[in-house]
Amino acid sequence: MIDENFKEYQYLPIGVLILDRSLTIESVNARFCEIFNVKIDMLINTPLDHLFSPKDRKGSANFYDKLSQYHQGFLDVQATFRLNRADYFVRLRGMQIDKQWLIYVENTLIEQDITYDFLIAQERWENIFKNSEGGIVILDTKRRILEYNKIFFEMMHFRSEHEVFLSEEALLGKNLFALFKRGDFDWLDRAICEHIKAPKYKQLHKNVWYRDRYLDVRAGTISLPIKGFVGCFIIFQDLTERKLAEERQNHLLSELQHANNELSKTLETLRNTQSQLIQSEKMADLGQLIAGIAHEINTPLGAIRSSVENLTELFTKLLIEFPIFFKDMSPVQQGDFFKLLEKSTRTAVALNSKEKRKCRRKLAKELSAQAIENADDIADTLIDMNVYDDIESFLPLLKDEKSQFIVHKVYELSSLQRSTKTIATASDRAAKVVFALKSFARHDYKGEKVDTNIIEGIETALTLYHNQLKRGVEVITQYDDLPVISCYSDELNQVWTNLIHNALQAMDSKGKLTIQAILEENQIVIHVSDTGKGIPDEIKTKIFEPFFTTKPIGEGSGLGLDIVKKIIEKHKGNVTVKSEINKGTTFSISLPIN
Amino acid sequence: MELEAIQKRFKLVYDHESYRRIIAGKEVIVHCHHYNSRIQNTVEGARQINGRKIILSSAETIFADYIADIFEPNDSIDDKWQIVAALYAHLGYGLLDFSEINQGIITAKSSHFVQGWLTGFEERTEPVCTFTEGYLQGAIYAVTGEIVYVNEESCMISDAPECRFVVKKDRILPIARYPKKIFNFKAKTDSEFVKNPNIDEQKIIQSLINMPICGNEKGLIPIFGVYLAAMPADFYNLVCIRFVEEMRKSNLFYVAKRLLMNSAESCAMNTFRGIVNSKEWRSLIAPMVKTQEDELFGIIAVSNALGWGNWHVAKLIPHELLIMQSLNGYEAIGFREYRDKIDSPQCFMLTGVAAGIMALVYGEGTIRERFGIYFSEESNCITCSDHACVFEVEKV
Repeated sequence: MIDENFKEYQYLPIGVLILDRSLTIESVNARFCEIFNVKIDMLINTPLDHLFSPKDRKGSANFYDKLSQYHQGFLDVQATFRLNRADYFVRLRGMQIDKQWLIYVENTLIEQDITYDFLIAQERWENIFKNSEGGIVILDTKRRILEYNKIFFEMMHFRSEHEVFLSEEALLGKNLFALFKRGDFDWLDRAICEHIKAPKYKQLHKNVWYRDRYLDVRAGTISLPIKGFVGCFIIFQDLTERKLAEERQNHLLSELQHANNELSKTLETLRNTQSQLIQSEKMADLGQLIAGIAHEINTPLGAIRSSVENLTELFTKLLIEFPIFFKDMSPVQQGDFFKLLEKSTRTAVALNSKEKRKCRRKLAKELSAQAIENADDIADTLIDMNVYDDIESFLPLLKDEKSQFIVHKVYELSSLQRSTKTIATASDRAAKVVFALKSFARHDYKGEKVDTNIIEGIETALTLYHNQLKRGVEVITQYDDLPVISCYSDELNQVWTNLIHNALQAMDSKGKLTIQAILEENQIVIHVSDTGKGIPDEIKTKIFEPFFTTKPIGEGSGLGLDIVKKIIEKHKGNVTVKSEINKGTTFSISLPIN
Repeated sequence: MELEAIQKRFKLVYDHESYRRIIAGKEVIVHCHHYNSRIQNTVEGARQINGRKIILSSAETIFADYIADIFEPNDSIDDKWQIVAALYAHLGYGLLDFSEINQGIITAKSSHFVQGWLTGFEERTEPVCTFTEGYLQGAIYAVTGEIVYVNEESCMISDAPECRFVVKKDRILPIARYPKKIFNFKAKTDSEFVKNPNIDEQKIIQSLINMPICGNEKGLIPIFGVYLAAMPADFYNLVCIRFVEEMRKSNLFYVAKRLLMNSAESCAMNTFRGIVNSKEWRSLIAPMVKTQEDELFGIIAVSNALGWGNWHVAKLIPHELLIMQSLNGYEAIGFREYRDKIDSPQCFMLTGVAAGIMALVYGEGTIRERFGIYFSEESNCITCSDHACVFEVEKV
């Protein structure tokens, strides 16, 4: 039948192939040969299968699928033919007529062909659809899946009740919302149903969690100009990573905030503890200092008290005895008496015990030579009165029969004078200590720098440690003429006392303490050296660390040098240490002048 | 009869030398719902032939003998119905209920073929349990000696609560017989294959042998992200051979060949995508996988453990070329047993699968987009008297 009509096919504007049952080419029209630039002889008796391009297996597979399931009407597929080494994208429309196949072949890649335009449009659409970053699904008017892209498939990963993955084909034609677990997208199903009832373009938008994914869901209706409402589309954007990142960030921020709060609390506690420790350190140092100062003040006070007692006793006695004593003395004797008294109160070289013994022996001998009775006693008293030379002018007085009594009275009166001197000296000493204490305790209340003489601060510290130093420490000071510098003087005083205190401990209060204050170009350098046991190399780097101490537990907080370092750093200065075992240690402090 | 006693008769024997899985004396191949539903779709969908009959009668023929061979002399009729149902469930086909067999009714509340189609294929309204009809015809013959027709009157595929099979006894035609010849084939042992240092194939195979790949309480095997089922190799061979022969009668031999290869290619991609996304893969094989090539070797190892072919990589150029050699694939051996030699290769399943594996491992996009990006050809085949089957896959 086809053969009978084949002449007519020759004039059709498209290619025509006539195939036998085994799909072997029996006839070809001229247009086919023209379009694909082939000779008819090349095609006759060739299986159609040979025309399919190996590059488009999808096309040929689609053709065979359709062919095997062909029942009636036209089968209509797109495929690629390879003819004369050129590939042609073709549309094949075929039908079986008796035992033959009639196939219309159109080359769709001819520009300005409407099929071509449709194909290009379809490819363009598929390209966008396929490469979209979101999962896209298109539903028909009954919410059945018509089309979807790879992202949608992988995002949803629908599974059967036995956790078996649904294939891509299995999704097609299924109601999308029946695939979700009940409740997951009911809101969207309801909204889409509403749209279907009264279709008008409106986009739905919501962000939701679905399984372990956080999705941005947007849906809208599809209305075509001619067919009107044909369904809807849904775009799922996976925001999980962003959401998780946000949550992680929020969590981290919250943790950070919490950690910050904790750190703040810890810092506060540490500050309090540090403050307490520093206070303890200060108090420990201060305790020792105060013990020394107490001793320093107690000593002159004792001397004063003793002198006052002496004065009180002698005054009482002399007030009663002197009128009678002087009444019995001649004017010459009275003159000699006061001369002797004056000599006894002169400032003379103080004799040591050995010298005193030697002088007493010599004086006793001289007095004996003058036939003075009780020469030994009188010599003894005279030596106590610091009278051991030039006694010739007093010989008349000493030769008097009551000379021992007269000399004793002179001694008592000179004692009065010595007591008053002692009181003056002790008062001066106490006043000096109090002054040093006042200098040490001077606070820069406003926390501002004040002009300070560094040497005064060092001297004040030395004064306060005088009690400890005097027992066996030789103090050597070498001071350049230093300018006044602006500093936190109270804190620097703490530096000097700490260093002196450490030096004393290092030397076990026996040795040589050398303090040098040197003026260099733009800085003042203070070296505090002791002759103590030195610092081992392995701990040199640690001595400025807080809480590091070599002292027995309870004796030091380990903050002394840390405080020194911090105070010096606060002054933009520097502190270094040089030490040699069993030779001593030198701490060097440099302070900028400006 | 205790179920445990019945199941002892189904104990798996794995022949490490030939890579064969044997249950109750019969070589079985473990395929998944993708392959089963695609083969059914291809064979039944061909309008030029009666594909439904091919599936049904192949199942009938195979299971009439298979089931009869499982029976023991002392088994009662009840025991035999129990064994028929237990075998059906054990092999992963679903649950059969013979409580109404005297009224000529058999029901199934669970079905591999329904589940497989629903999760693997497009919507369908006509009954899908063609295989089960054949299984039941063969089983009834094995149990009672009666030659019957079994027709699925309603199917869960179209939302029926159960699949309902009606037995009709007005049959005259006997059970078809497809005799096999003995084919003494000794697989070659001197082949050299590409070794993958990361994939321990023997470990994978042994793990899969130890894994209970048998029906659960619903008679299904949802493992590796797919519904597995153990099907006699003879069944697949008969269906494919007869399909090709029937199509050849319509002068559509190469169409049949293309259809079978294309089905296998799609099946491989779907099957192994399910497998590599499964928890079983993640726990057993994924720890060995570091590269795409490792994944390919892992997939081959799994297919060998499932009894597909004793095939191995002879050459691999990543992304470009794969040459596989199958030493005793069930298709080739089955063809020789049923039909003897032929002048063209017949391993359509492995040809398509080889292309599908490459497309899955190295391709991108949906299965539809990946399809056809590799071209596979069987260059040597045991059916053509070659010593081994060779599949060459190249990027298109």
